[in-house]
Amino acid sequence: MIGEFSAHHYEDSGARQFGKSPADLAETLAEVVSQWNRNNAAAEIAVRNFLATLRLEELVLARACAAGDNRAWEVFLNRYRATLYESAYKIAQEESAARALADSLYAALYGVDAKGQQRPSKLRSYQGRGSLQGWLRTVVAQEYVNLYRATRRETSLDAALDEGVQFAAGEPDVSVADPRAETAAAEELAALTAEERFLLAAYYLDHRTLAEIARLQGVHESTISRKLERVTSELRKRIRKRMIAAGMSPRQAEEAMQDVDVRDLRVRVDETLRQGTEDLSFYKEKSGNQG
Amino acid sequence: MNQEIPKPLRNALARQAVGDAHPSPDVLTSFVERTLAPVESEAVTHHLAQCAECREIVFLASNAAEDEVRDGRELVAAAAGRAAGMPVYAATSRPDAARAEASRHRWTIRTRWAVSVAAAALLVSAGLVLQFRHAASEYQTAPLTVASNRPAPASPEARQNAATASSREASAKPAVPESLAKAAPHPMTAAPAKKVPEATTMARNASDAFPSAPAVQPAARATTSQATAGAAVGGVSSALVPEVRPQSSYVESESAQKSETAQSLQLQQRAPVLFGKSGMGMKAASAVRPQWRISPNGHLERSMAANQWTRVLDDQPVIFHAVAVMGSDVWAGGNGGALFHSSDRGEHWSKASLAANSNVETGAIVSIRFDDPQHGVVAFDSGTRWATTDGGVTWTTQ
Repeated sequence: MIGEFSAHHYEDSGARQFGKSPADLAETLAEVVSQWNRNNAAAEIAVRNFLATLRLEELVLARACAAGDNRAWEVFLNRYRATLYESAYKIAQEESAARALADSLYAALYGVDAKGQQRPSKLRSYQGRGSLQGWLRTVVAQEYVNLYRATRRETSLDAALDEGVQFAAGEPDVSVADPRAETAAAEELAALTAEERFLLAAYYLDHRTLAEIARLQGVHESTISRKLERVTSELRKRIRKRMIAAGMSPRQAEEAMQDVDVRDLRVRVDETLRQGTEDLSFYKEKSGNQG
Repeated sequence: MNQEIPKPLRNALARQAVGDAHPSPDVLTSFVERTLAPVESEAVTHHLAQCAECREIVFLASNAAEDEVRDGRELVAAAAGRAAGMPVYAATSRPDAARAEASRHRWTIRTRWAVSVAAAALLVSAGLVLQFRHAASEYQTAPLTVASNRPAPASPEARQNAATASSREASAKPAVPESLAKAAPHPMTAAPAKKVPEATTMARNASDAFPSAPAVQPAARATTSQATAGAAVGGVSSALVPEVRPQSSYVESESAQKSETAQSLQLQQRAPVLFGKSGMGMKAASAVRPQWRISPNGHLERSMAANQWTRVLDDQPVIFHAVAVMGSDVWAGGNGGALFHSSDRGEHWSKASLAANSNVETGAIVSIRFDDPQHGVVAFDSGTRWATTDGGVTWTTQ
């Protein structure tokens, strides 16, 4: 099936201009499909649909760049280098950081590490599942998060204080008086859908704006606002009900449900609500640096 | 919106565990672009609900994409200014940005010339009007090229410009008053609208017509050029022929067509006055030629100005994969065998159905190619190819 698909779309993919044969294209596609379908459980129709969604031309271009094809690099730079810089600046919001970010990523795309040693090009990992332009934005964002994380570890206390960084207390105050309240909230939260929990986390923990969340989900921000209002309202009722069912008095439940300003919150990862995601086929193993 | 939530809920939210694996950039990109299958999208949402890092990444990427769409060329230029010393990120290196920048420079120069030449041409026209009033009967039968070739009572440079324009493209742009043009129609200006693959030639009815998103400004549309035939897949052909809006029998009344055609002709006739030379008028028209693209989200989008994209056919639940442009004809295809055609640069659309022996093609269209307005090929993800040799009236499998 992949060979047939490859033969049909060979001319449209642009593989010929980079000296790739239909067999080369089929090999690339087979690799992409195997990455997606790791447990080999997808039906033929699902594979066919998956192939149809691939950005074939961009995938071929990325693979040709990763293989060191000069013509491919010429095309790539003409199309995407402005995107790279724009994304780096918009994400870093500061010129020197944007430069460092873009330089770092360029080296990774070109297949050179910080010491100038050859290594596999990051473009080799592009699977054609989203647009190459969008993928570049994502890897810029990922690189930024990694760099920021590394920089934070290296920042001295004095430097941080000079920059006005506010350090939180050693241990975040996330405890409540009654463990029954914690249990009730955790159970009710776990009963929510993934989307509802995502909305709560993005809005109340990350302080993303309604507009940002709405843009990501492709809906109007009033839709997000209504969802959040509904979810929090229902959660309050359910948690309170569960606390009372667990033996707390209505007054105790009311006290436990006092609002707090989440801007004072520090996120603490806990294993108590571990919800398995490791077996999902599209996940890759977590390494030192994400991505 | 309240920024506060109950304390136990906040704690539970913060304590959600993160798995050992993160979605790859490919998957996150697809999530941002909303092209993931529902099952995968649900799984990614599940992960994002727990993973602050991945949430940060998708929001950063999403915001950067939005900024690029919103700010467009201005941000690129500003970024380039800030990036002195960042040679690899030259803003104008991007083809569309470079084109926009080059176009802007050309326009600055053209505008300067156009103003001076238009002023001279205005004087010429004024002189001609006075003379025409005295000898209207003579000019009613005289070829209009004579009028545009008349010596102008202006500067020698203006006369030279007018003569050059007249000799080169006199028939296309006669510099005559409207009243005279109506009285003595020039063979070119009085010619019927340029024949394009008519909307009525396809199997369609009124209910199949989908008005697109915001219409183009009438003046801009009237000066928009008609692209010549030639291969133009996913792009726009060069435009050299003045456009007369194609007749659209199933949308507009005949009287409306006549009215609009007359208005279009009037605007064409004014073009020499506005731009001095008809050639410049043609170049001006090309500046408002629409550009087409498929967005990362599978939306069909049209741009009438640099980096200002408007979604088209947004009422259709289709993920588009391919768009092809041939002159004023636009073909767009996507999932479910959806194939749309517009013969007027996206103003009105009709849906084509590809079927053989009552079996309707329902696969995803992944490629559309037209070598001329009549001959085109549509390829499906299944490998099936449909071809037309009559501008889409009939389709056959290959």
